[in-house]
Amino acid sequence: MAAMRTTTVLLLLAVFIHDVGGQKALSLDEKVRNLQESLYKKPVMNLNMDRWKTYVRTAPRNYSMIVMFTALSAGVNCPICRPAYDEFHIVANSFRYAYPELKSLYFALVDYEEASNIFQQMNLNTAPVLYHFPAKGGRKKSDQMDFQRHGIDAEAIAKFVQDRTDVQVRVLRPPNYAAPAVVILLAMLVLGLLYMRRNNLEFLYNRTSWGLICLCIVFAFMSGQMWNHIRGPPFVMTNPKTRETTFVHSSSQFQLVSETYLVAVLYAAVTAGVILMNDAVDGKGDPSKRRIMAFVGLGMVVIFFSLLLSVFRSKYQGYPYSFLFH
Amino acid sequence: MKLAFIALALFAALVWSQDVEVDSGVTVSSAERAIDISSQVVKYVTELHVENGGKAPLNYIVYALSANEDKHLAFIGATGDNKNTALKVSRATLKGAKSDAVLYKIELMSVVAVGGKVTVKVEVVLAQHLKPYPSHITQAEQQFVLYDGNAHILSPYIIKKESTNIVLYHGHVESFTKAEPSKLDGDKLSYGPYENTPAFTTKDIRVHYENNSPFVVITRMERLIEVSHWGNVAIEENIDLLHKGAVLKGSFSRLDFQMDRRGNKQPAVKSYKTLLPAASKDVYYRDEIGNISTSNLRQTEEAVELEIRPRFPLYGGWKTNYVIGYNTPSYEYLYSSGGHFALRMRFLDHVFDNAVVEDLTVKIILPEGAKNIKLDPPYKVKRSPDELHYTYLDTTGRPVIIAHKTNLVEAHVQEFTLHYDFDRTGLWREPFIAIIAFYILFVAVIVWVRFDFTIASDASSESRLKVQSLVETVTDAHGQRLAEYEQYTDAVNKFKASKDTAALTAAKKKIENDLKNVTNQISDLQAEMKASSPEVSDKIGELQRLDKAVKEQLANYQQQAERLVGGKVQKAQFADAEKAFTQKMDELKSKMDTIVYGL
Amino acid sequence: MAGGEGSEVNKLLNNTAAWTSLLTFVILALAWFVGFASRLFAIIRFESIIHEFDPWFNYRATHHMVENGFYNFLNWFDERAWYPLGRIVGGTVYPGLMVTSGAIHYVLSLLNIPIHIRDVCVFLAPMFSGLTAISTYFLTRELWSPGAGLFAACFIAITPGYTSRSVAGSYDNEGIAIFALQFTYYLWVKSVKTGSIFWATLTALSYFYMVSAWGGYVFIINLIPLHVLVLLIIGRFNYKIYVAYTTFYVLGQVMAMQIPFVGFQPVKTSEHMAAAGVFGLLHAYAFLKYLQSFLSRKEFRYLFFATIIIAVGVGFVGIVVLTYAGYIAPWSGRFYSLWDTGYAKIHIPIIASVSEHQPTTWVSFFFDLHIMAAVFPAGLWYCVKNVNDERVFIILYAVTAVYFAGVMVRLMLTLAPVVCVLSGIAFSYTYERYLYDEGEAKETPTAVEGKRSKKDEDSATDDQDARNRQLYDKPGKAKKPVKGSGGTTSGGAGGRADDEEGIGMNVRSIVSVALVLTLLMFVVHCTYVTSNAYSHPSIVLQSQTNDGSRVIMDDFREAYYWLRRNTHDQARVMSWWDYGYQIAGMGNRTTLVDNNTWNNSHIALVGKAMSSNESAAYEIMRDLDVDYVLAIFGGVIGYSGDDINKFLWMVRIAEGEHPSEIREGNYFTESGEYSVGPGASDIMLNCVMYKLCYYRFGETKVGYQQPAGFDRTRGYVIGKKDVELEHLEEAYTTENWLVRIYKVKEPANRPKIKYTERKIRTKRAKSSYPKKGKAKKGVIKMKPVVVKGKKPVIKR
Repeated sequence: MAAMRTTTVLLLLAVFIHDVGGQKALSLDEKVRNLQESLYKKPVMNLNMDRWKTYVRTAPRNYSMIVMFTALSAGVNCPICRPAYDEFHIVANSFRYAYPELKSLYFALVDYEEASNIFQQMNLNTAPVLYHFPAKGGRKKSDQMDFQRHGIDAEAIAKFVQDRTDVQVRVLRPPNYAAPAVVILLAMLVLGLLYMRRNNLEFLYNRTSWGLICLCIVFAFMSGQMWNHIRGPPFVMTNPKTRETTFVHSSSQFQLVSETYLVAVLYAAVTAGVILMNDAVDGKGDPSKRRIMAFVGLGMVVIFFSLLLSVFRSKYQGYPYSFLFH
Repeated sequence: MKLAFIALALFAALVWSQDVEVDSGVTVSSAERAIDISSQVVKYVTELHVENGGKAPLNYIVYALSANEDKHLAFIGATGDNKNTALKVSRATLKGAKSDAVLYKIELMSVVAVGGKVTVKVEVVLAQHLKPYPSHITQAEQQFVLYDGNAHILSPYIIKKESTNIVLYHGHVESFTKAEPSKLDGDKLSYGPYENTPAFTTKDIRVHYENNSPFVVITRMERLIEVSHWGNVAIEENIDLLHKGAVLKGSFSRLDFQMDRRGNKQPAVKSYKTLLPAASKDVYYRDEIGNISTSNLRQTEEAVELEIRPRFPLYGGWKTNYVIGYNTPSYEYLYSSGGHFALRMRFLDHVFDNAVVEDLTVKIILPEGAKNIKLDPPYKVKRSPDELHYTYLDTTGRPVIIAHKTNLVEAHVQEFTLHYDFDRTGLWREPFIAIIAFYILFVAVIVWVRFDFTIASDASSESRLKVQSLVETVTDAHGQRLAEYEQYTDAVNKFKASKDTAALTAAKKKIENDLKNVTNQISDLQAEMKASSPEVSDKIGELQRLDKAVKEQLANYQQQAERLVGGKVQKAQFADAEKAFTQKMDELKSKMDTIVYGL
Repeated sequence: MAGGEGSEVNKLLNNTAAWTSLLTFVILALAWFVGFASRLFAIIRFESIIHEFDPWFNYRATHHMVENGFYNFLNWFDERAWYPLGRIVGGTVYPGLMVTSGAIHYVLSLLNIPIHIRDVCVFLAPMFSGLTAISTYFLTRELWSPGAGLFAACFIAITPGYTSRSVAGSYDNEGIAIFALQFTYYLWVKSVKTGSIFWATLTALSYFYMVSAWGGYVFIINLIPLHVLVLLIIGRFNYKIYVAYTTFYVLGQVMAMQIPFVGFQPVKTSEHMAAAGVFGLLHAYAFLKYLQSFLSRKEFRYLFFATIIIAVGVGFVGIVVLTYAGYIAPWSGRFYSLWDTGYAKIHIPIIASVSEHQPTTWVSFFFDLHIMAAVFPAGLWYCVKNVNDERVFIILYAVTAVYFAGVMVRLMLTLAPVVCVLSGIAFSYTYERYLYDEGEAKETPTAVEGKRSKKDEDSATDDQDARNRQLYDKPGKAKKPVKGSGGTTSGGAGGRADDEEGIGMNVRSIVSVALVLTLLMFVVHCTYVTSNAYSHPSIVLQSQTNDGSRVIMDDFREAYYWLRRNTHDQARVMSWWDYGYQIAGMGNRTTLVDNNTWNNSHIALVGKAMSSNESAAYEIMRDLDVDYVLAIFGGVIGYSGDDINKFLWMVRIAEGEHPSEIREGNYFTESGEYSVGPGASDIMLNCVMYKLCYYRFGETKVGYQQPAGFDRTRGYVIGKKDVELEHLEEAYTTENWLVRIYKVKEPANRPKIKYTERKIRTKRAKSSYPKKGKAKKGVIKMKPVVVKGKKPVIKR
């Protein structure tokens, strides 16, 4: 129905309008129609210079545009451009899914490669930037989305869109099949192994491997890898003034990746020391060697533990106790 | 004691009031009245010089208060010529009295003959007689109060010469009623002297003056005295405070409060001192939500001085409440003769200077088993029925004596005496109970451990236990046997070294019969177990079979050794024989182990 | 000779049984005592008082229960919280805590022991820490050996990871829940070993107690099924497990549903579906076992895999379908945030704003566990090395708990017990080797006791160990069985062997002494941490004057008590939700929001009121009938936990609900950082929170050298010094300005309501009529004015 009306309108236009100078002065309805078409094709329209002029710059507009200025080509060094673009794309996609026929909002993309002159025109020297071009009136300061504060993920962008143009976009992420796939693969693997070795399940009783797995898990978490995973701290810290790098952050609230590795190693060493001590007694073989084993084990426990303690002291100010070192 | 006496009289008087008559001949030659309205209470001290110009000798005189004053009367007392014997004061009515004055009859110590003189000093305390005006003030304003009184001394007698001196709070005086001659200098206001005022002359005066002294009233006070015959009296006072001065209007600003220049002269209570008995210890000061950390204690020789600071400064209309408690040694208050005890303590204790207590409840908890209790209070109090109080290990409960009195002032800080009988052996009841309880506990544990309370005897588990024990012995025996093997091998090896056949045979013989014993023992066990658990016994049979194999091995090994010693075989040959032997032994042993641990 | 030794051992066994039990008793009693005593720092430094926030609610609820009886407590509708909504307390709390302390109080009062319920509440957690130690002993004894149990008991008694939540006065669910957790696990292990319905039922009962005590019961109901599942997978299925699990599951779930707060969750939420699935799977498996007897090996195998796969598939699909159909609630946010660790930050700012929901740095691991953190992996190692049914359980417990502890700081609490158990095992294992003969006696008491009792225990309970060995261990581990659970005979023999070609006495003694030293360090560390980090009742602040004497700042109680005494009984106090419980508990006044954050939008409304300008806020306050507004301000004494520092969370939460009015960006300076200094934005300087905190602060001078209006916490002079209030007036400010209370003025055009009339008004407020507006009688708008003799005209 709507389509039919537009077509009729266009016929009338064709009749009345004479020298239609190609792309130059497109009427509103044509613009809208082209935009709709491009919308049917793909959610985000790629703008080159003249599309930019036509759809964004020239006056008659009853629709508002959300335009992302970014540099996706490998040449430009922009690590967050790609993820930002993906999120943006998700938003556009879910917008298309939600309101295919609402003719008041379109998403577009300006890539630095295709139209660097647009960047100059907007005198932008950073990417990615997300602008909203309202249907009426000029852009305000708040029409630029602040990636620093709100982050680049789709929800934030959708919120920005809703703030500017009261179109509420419910973000539908394409379901991520990776995790289930991995799980299923693993499951298949295990089951397959079980099936292969079904007639002797001895390997399940191989305690050592299981033990090692457990210990690895324990050390990983005890050394705060989960914290790293959530907070994503830097590996080491380099003081900008004095170019020295610190491996251990001096606050107990924060930690660096490097120090967590160090700690994990220390834990492992202490544990190994304990086990070594006991094997020294349990094991057979000539006493002197086992005596040495015992001492080595003890030494590992004591030394590495006191190392651990001193690392801890360096982070937790005012902790009074230390063992061997300071 | 004297005060107590007066008060008793007073309260007796309040109940029944007898008629008095005033002889017109009797006159007051001169009278001075000192009125102290510098604090929240109003104190009159009136000194009357009475002349008996009548016909009859005089054995009492009459003192009068206006009805308004009488409404707020908290305390009245009188002393005669010698200052330390109090006179009996009682309420009285005058036949054909033409004024609404309330009369009090003061009975003299000695009859005053006609023409005689007597001097009587009457002391009156009025509570909550001063009215704050204006009734609402802001934080910065001063507190002004109204005093309503009488320029003359109200008296049924003619007063030849009288004068009144009023002590005001040191501050601004807004206004006062002129009644010439009357003059104000500083914080002293004086009326009179007046000559020949007829009886019941009234000239109402009103003084409107600044009074920033704390108008804090104790609206409710509960005093709990717990007597323990282990040498301690615990006292706890539960106090509700209300600042009855001019109500704070508008906001309270901490900044202004901190900046305030007036210091203690501002109409707000920051802190005050409470005097506790000298020997009182472990004092606590808290309220519903815990300790009030803002307080400090000073030890003086006659009292313990507790500086109490409420959680927040008390402005007009603000309330708070708190609990203070302390222990005092009982020897100071508890007197005894044999089984008879007497407790002498203050009915009301000092809370702060010029305090007013609207409602006081005193509860005295006596030790369990106290009998024929008798309370004699310093003044008339209202008794409630006694209660029972249960605390640690109480069985019959402790008697609680409860007494109430309303509208008290500092003059009521007087002692009561409580008589009761108590059997000293009762002291040991509670320790005894505790001992018994523990004893019972231990007995119960012993019984529980010693006896078997299972409902049905579980045959299977028992047999299993039996098997367990048997298996134990088997395992031990087996371990023993292993050791024997070791020795056997050792012996053979030694023999290899020493080539001493005799030793070998000796060792061999010994070990072999040891082994035999063990083996027999094990086979016995096996036979024993056949019935109960065949599979185990089978395992043991297996064990025995292995054992035989081991024996063969040993024997064979020994032969090898002997032949070696005999030089029948080469070293090398023997070596691999030995190797074969050891590994065979090992695997046999491991088999055995498997079985044993499988048991 | 060996024979001789055997008999000796037997003699020893007979002699020392009594000694053993005595020693065990003494050690456990000492552990209890030490655990109790080390938790009393706060009491000794300050007083017997309830600590920070949630405990105050628990205390209030307990008090209510003791006053009004249990059933009134269950039906308690608290109209003093969440005004005007109110809160159904009975249905929204885990009553276990209140019931426990209520019961203790009841028993004591039966014995005529007059103790205030507050003291019961204050000392509950330390008492239960002793019980926790004992149940840990039992658990470890079942898992390994009595000696290890004693070590574990001593560890758990003092480990900071557990002390942090159970010091005297921190009257919170965790205090008793950890005991319930350990005890449930002990009973579960026991029932797995014996396979008796009796123990399984006890497990279910203990589980019931746990459910009634703490939301963390979900951990149990997922860990035990996991244990069963793993046992199935590694082919250790036997009918003991079947009996134990089915009994436990059925009884446990049915009983769990008796808790009002839990209700039908056990059958309707995804948290419990794993248990249900394993329940089904177990039956399928058992059924197959039954079929096995009829079928040939080959066809059985096909049947086996077919059925298992079908069962799993059907179960999984079924659950998913039910979830989508809405019969099963999907994972709750708090629970889900454990798996998807980024979840809370995006979706539930309230959860994210709580500090104890943050992930755990390695520092706090070490801080809470010290040496044990380094040693317990060894214990885990040995458990894996000589595994059996129950050790599978402890392994799973360790691995899962360490994961959760990594995700959330507060779940360190569930990690601490298993760490104690495992390091107990590690230490006793080591000492077993290095002290098998009563040679040297130069250890600390604990070590000596541990050691001696260890020996005695070994010999004494040798028969029991042996039985365990025979009943439970697979022949597979017959290679080195003795090392696992030191039996007498072979242990002794091994010892002899070691002595002959052993590693020598002096080595043994050196090692033992060194280990004792580390243990000593552990004890010292625990004491230090407990006294310095975990013993602050956060109600009372303590500061040192420069001459070293300590000053107690009691401002919170000062303010709350002022509210309690000098405001109207029905007065409604608006504050940020952190202080809701304290205002209700100490101030006994109606609050708008409090620490159980069940209604986000209501909290957001308060946040909006705090963060919008005064007139806008006044509208909200009028709508909510607010009488007083309370703000915490640390600028005078430099108290960092005040409302200005929490303010961003208020803004964020408000923005979440009212994005159009409140925008976080507006509260930052130009350069985009958060400040109340000169650079602060106008919206910041005019918001209610700023005014509340800094009203008349500009006139103060904190120090002599500092300028006026210098904020100590922030460390700079505030941006706007002349703060006028229009609709609020300062009602009370505490001595150190820590708490500031403001009164919401009546609308200006109304006459000032005098005190007496205010009484009457509140009588209406007390009666259940809504106070504002609704009670007015209606009027007809644009009522036609009828004039006689004319047609009525409707004025427009």
